[in-house]
Amino acid sequence: MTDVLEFDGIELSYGPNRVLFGTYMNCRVGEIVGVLGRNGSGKSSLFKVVFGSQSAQHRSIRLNGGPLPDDFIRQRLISYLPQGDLIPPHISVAKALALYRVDRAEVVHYFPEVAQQLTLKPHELSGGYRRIVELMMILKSPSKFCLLDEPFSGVMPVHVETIRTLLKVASADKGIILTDHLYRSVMSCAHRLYILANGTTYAVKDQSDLAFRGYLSSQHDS
Amino acid sequence: MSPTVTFYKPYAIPATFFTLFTCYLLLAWGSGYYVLTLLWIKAASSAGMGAIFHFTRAEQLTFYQNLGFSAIRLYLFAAAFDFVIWLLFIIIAFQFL
Repeated sequence: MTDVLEFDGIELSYGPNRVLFGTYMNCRVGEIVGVLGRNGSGKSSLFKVVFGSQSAQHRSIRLNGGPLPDDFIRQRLISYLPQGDLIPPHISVAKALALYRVDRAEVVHYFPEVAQQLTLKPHELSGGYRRIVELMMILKSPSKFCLLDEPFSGVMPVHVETIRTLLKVASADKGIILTDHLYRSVMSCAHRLYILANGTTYAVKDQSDLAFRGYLSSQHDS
Repeated sequence: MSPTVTFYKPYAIPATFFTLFTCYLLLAWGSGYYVLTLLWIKAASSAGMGAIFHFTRAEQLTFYQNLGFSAIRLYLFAAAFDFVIWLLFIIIAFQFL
């Protein structure tokens, strides 16, 4: 049976500001689901609530129709690439890779330019290379589902192509939910798309839906 | 080095400082009568450091959560590890009374 992660009924407010209140999303192992939305629409908050690093007024997260186990962190069912830095500043990149059991040779295979930088502390790397290393750590983790918040952020175009390939390879045995403002990259690798607008998720059929929800201008070319 | 020890590492220096401080107080007072007070000083300092971490650097927890360590498990390990180190130092300090 293919594992399915589903969440709905997530309600999140900051004071009087209702950020999330009508979300529904599902992701199966073997597929990549893209989430688009304007700045401040609650994409990162949604990921944090699902991963459990942010509390919400209400949330319902299910795995294969049943509630997500309380010890899903210990079971490593979901891994999460946050929008900010993943590697704490006191840990070298090499150490982080070792803790996550990521083969340095594999990172270098896909991104040869990173080879000389793996012994540095994370803040000594450029933002793009740091993002690449962090993404590799998440994609190589044993978790069934990955939440990726802006995996393409700061990454140069040639590496974006490689990341898209890596995502497709990783999706063979994982369900991947990602969000990024490089929407063309998201659209090109995602099997399905949602847009988050006004605290609610909507399935996206084509680019006109993005314009309708105010994510793209109506004159936007394809 | 395990992820839990890696988590504790940045707090080793301030934690050791407070441990040594309580040892100093024990030796300065010259009596084990106030050992519970010393324990409370150490507990309060550990709680303070934990609170500072939780409210300023909680996003770093994601690194460890992805490795299968919940926030509670990390905090409990850090507190237990810190207490054991403190206990060892206090026992040693008692030898000099």
